[in-house]
Amino acid sequence: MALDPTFSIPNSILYVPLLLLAAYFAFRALADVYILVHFGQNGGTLRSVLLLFFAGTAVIFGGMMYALSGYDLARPIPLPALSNLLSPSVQSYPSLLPPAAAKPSLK
Amino acid sequence: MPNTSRTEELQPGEQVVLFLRPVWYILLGDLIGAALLYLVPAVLCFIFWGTLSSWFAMPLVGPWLVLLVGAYAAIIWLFLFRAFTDYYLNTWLVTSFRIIDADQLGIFKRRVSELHLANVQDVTTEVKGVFQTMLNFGDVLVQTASEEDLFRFENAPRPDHVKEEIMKLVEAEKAKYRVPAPGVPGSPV
Repeated sequence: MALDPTFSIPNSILYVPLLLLAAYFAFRALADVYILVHFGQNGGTLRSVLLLFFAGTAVIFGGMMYALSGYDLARPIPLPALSNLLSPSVQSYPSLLPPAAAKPSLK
Repeated sequence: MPNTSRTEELQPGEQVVLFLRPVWYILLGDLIGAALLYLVPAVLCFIFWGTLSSWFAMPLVGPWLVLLVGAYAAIIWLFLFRAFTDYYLNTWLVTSFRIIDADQLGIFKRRVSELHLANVQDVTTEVKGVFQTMLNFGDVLVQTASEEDLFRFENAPRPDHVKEEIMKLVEAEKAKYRVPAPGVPGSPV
């Protein structure tokens, strides 16, 4: 059955797994921080590790958001393109490919 | 003297003699594991950058690849933090009255066991392997009167010193309850 070529999904659907990941990470991290502060001894080591952890978390998620900002997530993606990605007829959606791949050299 | 945590409130007159945590070297295994998990994909990316860069440039596939890489990095980072939490909250407190063993077994699973010094029968140390021998750490096992109860503190620093301190405290504690034999100087009339 052929897919309707006009049917499309927003690329911003990517935010769903991103939010799930962020929620899972936040839950686990906050639980760990809570038990560390509650049961551990407050000291320089614990403060340093917590600072390092938050800094690393900021780098990971900040880097991810920075990398994602380079994409146009608001643009709708035609659904048939998903199946075409796995087939040789990918050229039917040249806008999905980088310029070099969309216009292959014939030399 | 270290502060005790909220679950291990001291009784009046009780003094902390030893506050133990496993040696920090045991975290090196987790650190090296995490470093490898970060480095191996980075090296693979470097080798196959030609192919990967074209994938990252695709408007449909690229963002999902970014998400995959970010999730991978975040989960390893979380695993490392979890390892530190388990290490940091695994403590042994030896006081003038008792031994308190606190184990963090997961995010919401914590076990705190307590052993009164008067019930200690035997203290054993186990130092196995090259690293434990060279770096002077090992396991300390405390046997109680009950055959089933065994306190085990793994990767304790200076296990022989810990054993000596515990034995001194046990002797002092048992001496309080010992009834001298009749006729011995100092015995009650």
